[in-house]
Order: sequence, then C-alpha cells, then structure tokens
Amino acid sequence: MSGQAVAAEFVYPPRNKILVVFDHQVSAKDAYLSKIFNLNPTADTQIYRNIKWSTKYYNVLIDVYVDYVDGLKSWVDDFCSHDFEELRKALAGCVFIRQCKDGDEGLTAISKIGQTGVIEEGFLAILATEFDATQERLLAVEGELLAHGVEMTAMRSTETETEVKNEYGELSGIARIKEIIDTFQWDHELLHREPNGNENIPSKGITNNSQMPALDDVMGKLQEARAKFLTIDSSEEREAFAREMADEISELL
Amino acid sequence: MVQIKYMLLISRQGKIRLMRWFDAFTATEKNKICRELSTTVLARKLKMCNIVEYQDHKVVYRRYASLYFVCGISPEASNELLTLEIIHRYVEAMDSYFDNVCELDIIFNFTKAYDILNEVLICDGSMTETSKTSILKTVASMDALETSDNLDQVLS
Amino acid sequence: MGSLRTFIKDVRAAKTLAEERAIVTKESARIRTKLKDDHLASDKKRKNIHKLLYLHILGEKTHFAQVECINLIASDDFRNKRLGYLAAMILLDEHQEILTLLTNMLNNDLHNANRYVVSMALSTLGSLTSPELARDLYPDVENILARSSDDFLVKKALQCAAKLVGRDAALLEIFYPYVGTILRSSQLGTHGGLLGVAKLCQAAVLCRSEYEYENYPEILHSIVDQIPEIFSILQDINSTSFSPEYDVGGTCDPFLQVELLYTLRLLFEKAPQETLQYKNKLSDILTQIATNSDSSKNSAQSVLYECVRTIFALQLDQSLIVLGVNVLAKFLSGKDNNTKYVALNTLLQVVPQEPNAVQKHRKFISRCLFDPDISIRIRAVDLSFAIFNETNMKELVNELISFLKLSGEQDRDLIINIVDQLINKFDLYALDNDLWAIEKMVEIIKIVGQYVSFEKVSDVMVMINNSQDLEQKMKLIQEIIELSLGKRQESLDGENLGWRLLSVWCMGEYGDVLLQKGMFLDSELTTFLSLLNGIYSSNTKLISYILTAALKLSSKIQNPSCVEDLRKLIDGHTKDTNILLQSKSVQYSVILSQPVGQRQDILGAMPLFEKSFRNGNSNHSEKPKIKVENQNVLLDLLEGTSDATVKNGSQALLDIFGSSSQEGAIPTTNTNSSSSISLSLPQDAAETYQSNEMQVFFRTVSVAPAEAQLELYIQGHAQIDNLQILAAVSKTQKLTMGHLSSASIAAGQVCRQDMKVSGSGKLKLRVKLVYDGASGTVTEQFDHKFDQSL
Repeated sequence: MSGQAVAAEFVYPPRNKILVVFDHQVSAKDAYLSKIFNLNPTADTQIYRNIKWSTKYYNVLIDVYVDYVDGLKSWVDDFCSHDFEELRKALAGCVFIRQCKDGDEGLTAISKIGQTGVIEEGFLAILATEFDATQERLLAVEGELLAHGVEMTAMRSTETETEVKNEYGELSGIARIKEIIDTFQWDHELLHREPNGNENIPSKGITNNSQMPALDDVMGKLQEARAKFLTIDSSEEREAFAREMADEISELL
Repeated sequence: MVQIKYMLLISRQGKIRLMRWFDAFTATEKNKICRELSTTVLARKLKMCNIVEYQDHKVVYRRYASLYFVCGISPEASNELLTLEIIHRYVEAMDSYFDNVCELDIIFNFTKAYDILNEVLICDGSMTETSKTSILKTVASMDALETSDNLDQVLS
Repeated sequence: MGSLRTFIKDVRAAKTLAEERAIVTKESARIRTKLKDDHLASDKKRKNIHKLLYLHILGEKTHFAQVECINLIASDDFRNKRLGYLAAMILLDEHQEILTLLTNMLNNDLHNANRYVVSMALSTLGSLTSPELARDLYPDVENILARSSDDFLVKKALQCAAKLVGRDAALLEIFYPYVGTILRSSQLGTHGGLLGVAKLCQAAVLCRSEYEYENYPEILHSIVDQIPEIFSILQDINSTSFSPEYDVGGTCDPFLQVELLYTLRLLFEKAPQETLQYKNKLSDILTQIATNSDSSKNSAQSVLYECVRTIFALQLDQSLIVLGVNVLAKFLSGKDNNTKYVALNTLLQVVPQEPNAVQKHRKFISRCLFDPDISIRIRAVDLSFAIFNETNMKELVNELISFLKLSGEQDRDLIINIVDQLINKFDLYALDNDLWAIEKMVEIIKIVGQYVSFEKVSDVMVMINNSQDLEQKMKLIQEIIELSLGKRQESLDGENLGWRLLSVWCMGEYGDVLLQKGMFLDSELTTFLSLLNGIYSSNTKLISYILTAALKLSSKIQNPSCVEDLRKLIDGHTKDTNILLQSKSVQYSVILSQPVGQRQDILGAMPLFEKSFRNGNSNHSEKPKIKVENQNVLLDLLEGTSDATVKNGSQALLDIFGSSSQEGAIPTTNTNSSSSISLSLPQDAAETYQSNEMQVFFRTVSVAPAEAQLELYIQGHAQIDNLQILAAVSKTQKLTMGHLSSASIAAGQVCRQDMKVSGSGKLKLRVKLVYDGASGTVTEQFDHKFDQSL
C-alpha cells in the first residue's frame, strides 16, 4: 500500500481514452460524436481532450480519439501490430460506427481484434447505423461477434430518442454504447465520486421513501459541523457555532 | 425444491458483476465455471431454452437488459422452472430497492445486491423468504440501523 | 495509419503528465488516509473490505482479508458487523481454520438483543457450517427455536438447523420436535417459517443412514404424523386465488408449494411403509393440483411440474400417471421452450412405465423435432426413439426424415445419433432386409450422407445385399446410380461422401444386372468410377471401394476399352503411397490378369451376409441363414491375393465388402439360434423374479470399479418365443446389452442374456421382458437391486 513502488506501477497511463472509428460512408458523423460524448465537434479535430463523462455514481475525464477509415482490414492489421501496443494500452475501448451488412468483411476484421485479445481489458463495440438483413440474421451476427468479445448494437430505424429497449429491456443503439462506457471498469485514480455517490445508498422504492434523502442531508451536515467544531479553539465560538448548527439541523428535521 | 449451488451475474460484455457460492468450490473450479459459463451463456441464441446441462449439474439463466443471472442448481431434485421464478423474485426485489435497477447500480452497490440476496437465499442455496415486502423491509431496517450507528458516532 | 500515429504520439505525451499527476494523487491520498487513521480507523477498515469484496468479484485472490473480516464482526458498530458478516459469507468457506476464531463471536451474536445481528449470525453459521461449528453452536440455534417469538429469526434458525443436521445427523434428536410445534404455530408458521420446516423434514429423511441411535423410527414417526398438517397447508395455498404478498403471476407462493411437494415426495419415497395410510389422500391432492392449476401460466407450470415429478417418482396409480403425462403433453403444445425442455426430459423417464400414454402425444413430440432450439431437438429425437414401435414406426421414420431434410452442420451429432438408432431399431424389429427400411436408409444417406460414418453406410449395404426382393431392389439401385450420374431432377450435396461410397459399391455389385437390363451404358459407369478416382485420390476408404468396384465391374462388362479403363484405374494405384491401397491394387491387378472365366467365378454376386448384432435381443429365428456356397470362392480370392490369415468366411466377406473388420464381425458359426440350444443354470445364479411363465436369475460375472459384467438367465415354465429383453439402469450408468443365447426356449430350458453396466453408483436394473407365450404376447417387468455398487 505504500506509495514507493510508483515506478513499476505507472509504466502505462490509466486507460482513459476511447477510440471512435468511423466508416467513411457514415453520414452526419459529428452528430454521433455529440450524441454519445456530448461534445462540440469541430472539423479536422481528431483528438478531444478532457471530455467529462458523467454517471449518477461518478465522473471521469476522458480523451476521445476519432479516426475515419475506408478499408477496415488493413487498419485492423496496423492497429493490432506491435507498433501500437502503447496506444492499445491507453484505450478504455473502441467504438466502430459503420453501416453493416451480412457477411461484412469489416465485421470479420473487428472480431479479429477481439480474438487476438490485444486490447485486453478494453471494450469493443460496434454501432451499426444500419444493418441490411433480416432480424434473425442480425441476431445471429450479434451472437457470433459476442463470442469474440465484440458487442454490436444496431440503431433501430425508429430511434429518435436516446433510449430504445429490446424485449429483454436492454438498451440499443447510442444508448447502449453509452451504457457500455458507463459500466467500463475505470482505473481507480481516474474516478471522481459525486458527493452523494457510493457510500450513500439510494433508497428509493421502499417504505421510507421521502425520509431517507433528508436523513442523508442531516448526516452530511452533522459530519461537516463536527469537523468544523473540532477545529475551533475558543470555547465561546464553539458554543455559538454549536447553537447555530443545532438550529439549522432542527429546521432540516 | 431448488438448491442453488452458485449464482453469477454476468454482463453482456462478459464481465462478472456478482458471484455467490453456496457450495464448496476451489478457487480453480470457481474460475473455470465463471470463464466457461460466461462464454456458454453469452453464446446462447435468443430462442433457446434457459436451461443448460453443464458439468454434472444444470445451469438455469435469465437475461435482464444487459445482465445475465446465472444459477447452477443441484441435478435431479432441483426444479428448473422454479429456479427461473427465484431469479425473477430477486430481480424484482432489486428493482424495487434501486427503483429500476441497472447494471451500473449493481456495480456501485454490489454489497447491497448481496444484502438483498442474503434475505432470499440462505445456507446451501435454499430459499428462505418468498415475500418481496418482507425482503425489502428487512434490508431497509438494516440500512436504517447503519445510519443510526453513523449518527451515534458523529454525536459522540 | 496516419491517424493511429497521431494518437500514439498523444498517448506518449500524456504519459509523462499522467505519471506526474498519479504520483501527486497517490501521495495526497496517502497523507489523507494517514490523517484519517486515528479518528476513523473502522471507516478505513470498512473501505478496505469493501474494496476486497469488489476485487473478489473481479476474480482476484482475497485470502489475506480473512482476519480483517473477523475484526469487523467483532466490532459493536452495526455497519462494521454487517459488512464483516457479508465478507465472511462471501470470502470464507467452511474448510478454513480461521473459523475457530468465529465461534465465540457467533455464540455472542446469536444472543444479541438486535434481531438483525442474530439473523446475520444465523446466516453465516448456515453458510459456514464446519462440523466443529455445528457441534459448538447448535444449543444457541435451538435456544432461538425454543424461546423466540420472532418469526423472522425462527425462519432462519430452522434453515440453519436443517443445515446442522445435514452436517451432523445426531443433532436430529435435538431439532426434530420443532417440526410439529412450528407447523402448528399460527405466529411462527409464516411462509418463511414453513420453508424452514420443510427443509428440516427433508434433512430428517435424508440423514437416515447416518443417524446412529435407535430412536430413528420414533423420530420418523413423529414427522410422518405431521403429514395431514402439510396436506392441509398445501391445499390451502394451492386454492388461494389471490394473496398480494405471495402472488407470483396469479399463483400463490409457488416456492412454498414446490417445497412442500418435494418434502412429501421424500417422505413417501423413503418411508413407504410408514406413510402408506396417507397415500390415497396424497393421490387426491396431487389430482387436485394437476387438474386445477392453469398450465398456461409460468408460475403455475413450476408447481405442475413438481406435482408430475412427484406422481412419477412415487409410482402412483396408473390413472394419475396418465394425468401427469397429459400435463406434460400440454407443456409440449405450448410455446415456452423451458417447459418443453422439462416436459421432454420427464416424459423420457416415464416411457418405460407408461409407453401408451406417452405414445398418444406423438404429434407434439414430433413437432419438437423442428424446434429452433437444439436442446429441444435432441430430446425430441431421444423421445421419438423411446416410443418407437411397430405400429408407429412408419410415421416416426418419415418425421425423422423430414427433420433430417432441414438439418445442417450444427446438428451433426444428432444426425449421427439418429442413423445409429434407426439401424439398431431396424435390427431389433428384424427389418434389416425389408425393402421399406432399406429405401428409408438410402433416402437418409441421400440427405445426410456427409455426416454418416462409413461403418453405418456399410450397414446399409449389408441391408441392400440381403434383400431378397430382386426386382424392387434393382429399381432402387437404378435410382441410386441415376442420381449419382446426374440423370435425375434432384441434386445432391457435393460433400456427400456416404452417398458416393454407396453408389460405387452398387456399381461394383450390381453392374452386370444394370447393364443387362440396358439401364446404363458400360462407359457411363467406368467414366464415373474414373472421375471419382481422380477427385477423391486422398480418401483411402473411397478409393479402396472404387478399386473393388472396378475389379468387379471388369468381369461384368464386354466393351474392351472400358475394361482397359478399369485396368488402368487399378494399375494406377500399384505405386500408391498409401500402403493399403498399394497392396490392394497389386492384388487386384493379379486377379485382373486371370482368364475371364475364372474371374467371374471369384467376383460373382455376394452371398447373404449376417451382421453382428449390437442388440442381442433381436429376433433371430426370422433371420435369413448364411448361405455358404460362395464362401470358398471368396476364400480363394483372398488366399490368392493376401497373406492374411482368414479366420472364417464372414471375415473374408467383410474384407471384400470393403467395410472395415473392426465393425466387430464375430464369427457367426452358432447364430442359428432357432435351434434353441439350451444352457444349464450356473450354481451361483440368484433368483430375482418369478412369474407364471418363467423364473429369472441374475449372475454377477465381475464387478470392477467402473464396470460390471452380468448375466441374466431365464428358465421357462412353458414354451417362450420371440423373447425380447429390454433393460434400463440409473442415469449415472450406461448399459450395453450383449448376446442373447436364444430368443426361444421350450419348457424347462434356459437362455442367457449378457449385459455390461458401466458408470458409477448403486447397481440396479429395471428389466422388461416381452415374449410370445401360450396366451399371446406377454410383457413383464421387474426391478432388481444388487448388493454391489460401481
């Protein structure tokens, strides 16, 4: 636990980068970037730094790399080569945004990344802007990709809002891509917990629904008050402060 | 009856989100089961039944959104159909507790997910309570006790 | 490539920055924790354990955390205790020595004033029940059962007690009285409490063999006395139409219903004598449940399924079994794959008891053959064969064929299984030279020949060879060849090697007849063989068939240029790198150089050929006898060409047949079983069954750890004909039926059936005998348990 063994621990920086790979044919590419990452795309920018990714439990600052590709096959060969190990180790994951079809060579190429395992802990996701096949084939292809650690999610033609769920209540399209990023296991150092994060368990849906959040507030106030109280030296000031706090807390209750 | 040997929560990304072993397994066996079942269950096709024969026992799984709830059950005596209902009862309880539970809730509150499970299954994976209300009441009361202990400490 | 380079530069630039930042945050974190250490030690401990639990989920090793768990449990702070107990349940198991440290804490906490602390202690004891903990802490658990009026604690104490009894049967004496008291308590007999009572009853029944004291009968009696109470609770819940707290999709507490049903099943199964007086009532209740539950609801299906399993396990009245079969048939007719799966599995087990009831639902079973789910298809095939009989076989075979037409690579194992089982069934029903059966097998090879092993293809050749109906046979062969030569509308899968093999063999065997009738040109046949010879040069099996066919055909055709082609084909392999093909072609070249007259003698039509039987229980008396006239010729053929020692004619036949002799060509000198050579009964055969018409004896030849050789002897009191013996073993074992010495015995005579059982577990058999006696066809069935286990 001591902080001495730093050198060995930090050979690689934490995985805080997401690589977005667009197929050239995809139209309105910028719209995807802004919908997924909530950023303002500018022409010719391929690196967006310190983008804030927020969930109800944490914030994390990420970098988004954007690439545009014609033939995925040679791109994948490069990407998997020894030269790019450092890049791969910095990636939380890759999102491929493309039009897919049955028997697509691009899909085979992407599943090769999964098969070789070169991206280790990182995720591999495909956002299919369209998939020209029957629903049955779509499911079959999804299954094959998943077997190699690649998740494909297709935009539904009806996708207007962010949340579209399938029969299992699973999100699809952009919403699912966001969920994959949400549930990525970020390095501990990267995470910034929200003040009401982990330790305070949300207690919705049970009997004391209304009471609990108030109690959380009271607790927080008390904690703060106590810490401050201990730092005050003069006994007069301490008492005054205590009275003040007592009033405030009774109001809250 | 159903005797659950283990319960695993596996994400569509192949990550284990929760595991609870009710039967004695060595670390090597546990690893093997986690690894093999992640692949097996993720590879199951949509219309396939939710019962898989695995090793010397059966595995019953059910998918909720991007999470698979996977239970190994004792062969012969265990009722496969009821296992599906037990999984569902557990998910219902979590759904109420977290107000529409999602994968992220479980990652960040996994001890709560365990706490709830402990009020459903006990000893060697037998069901101990079937009422959702009772399950939730117990967990909520224990949560309240934690808060009051916290209060005691602050006021001390 | 360009972009990737840009990205990697960025990563490198960021790296140094990240390193610096990380060092800073690390350092500040270190200071922070140090500062906090004094005030909030337990907070930190909690955080560490929390983190460890998370690491555990990620599959990291966490054994170093054990002491930390115990420390948290020891704390008075509820938060610490709660996390400590959770961590203990998840991270520890009952084999760890550290559990001794837990004993005192559990002991204290089981008496804690806070019910949740007691409950956590009970749960932890229930999951980490080492024999030592069981011994040391049972009084504390009993204390709760005896004194507590808190149903929340009692339900957990009961579960815990059941687990303790499982670990140490002697504790049953302590806990059994609570079954009765809690079952009758209106306050404690909640659904959770009843689940606990059920577990305790189950533990009481299951620990019978380990309980050492003499009062077990009394204990069992006191539990059996509770059966009426369990009945009435079960009936109550089952008939409750709606109870919001326990409702699951319109069924009241299916969990408790199933648990109670299983408890009853165990009681009636393990204590048949003691429970006899309640058996009628049980049948009534099961009938009620089976009739009243709505089989279209998932939650009700789980109860129905348990109900049916109880009916089958207890071998209740036939009418009830039929009712159970009908419930499962309804499952099959539905859409839910899970219910279909359990229904097929369960029906498979009940077929031996109630073949006719299952038979009635054949339509639903056949429909499952076409289910998109492979696990359903596999079971549907098994079940189809289980109900296969003379009256339904034509329809069943046609259904299987329609299934095969739609099957593909993913069904490979299933296809192989179907072909094996069909050939066995045709043997069993003595249809192996029946033209209908042959046509079906040929059709199957046409559809899925690419998956079928060469051994099975040669089984089909034997069937064709043995068919006596020459005219129909030739029609079939004509069709086979026409299809191969592309003269028919249908097309054929290019990978279908099984079919190639079959058609090559047909050309060799029946080329003369085909040519005589003017069905084909001789050049068509020779060109075809040469063509295949070129395409499949690496396939030893097929090439060796082609060589034999070429040799045979050469003596049957006149056209000199065709003969020359065949000679070239054979000569072409005299330098083959494959030694087997090389020697074969050398031998054939020699034969080929003989004068035509002699060749024709050697290469004449095949005699009838008898296969060895996988199932000794086929009806031999109707089998064609081996014709021996041609055997000498064949022997000549072999002797003239090979140094192989030829044991007997059928071995030689197999060779020329091109089929491998590993098939198990047992010398068939004594197959003439209708002559009923009677055996004498060995001294050490023990009588196991007796009926009006026969006495049955078993003799154990050997019992190795994983395999037992058995002999079953039947002595007839009267004439017995067409005897078929079917037997089944428990699921952990595999049964191989060996030879049956005779299917017919006269009064007083003895016949013997060899059997081999492999696997593990207690050795027990269910035997079914079907035969023609004086009064017509008789079926008898009995079970036998051996003293030995595997």
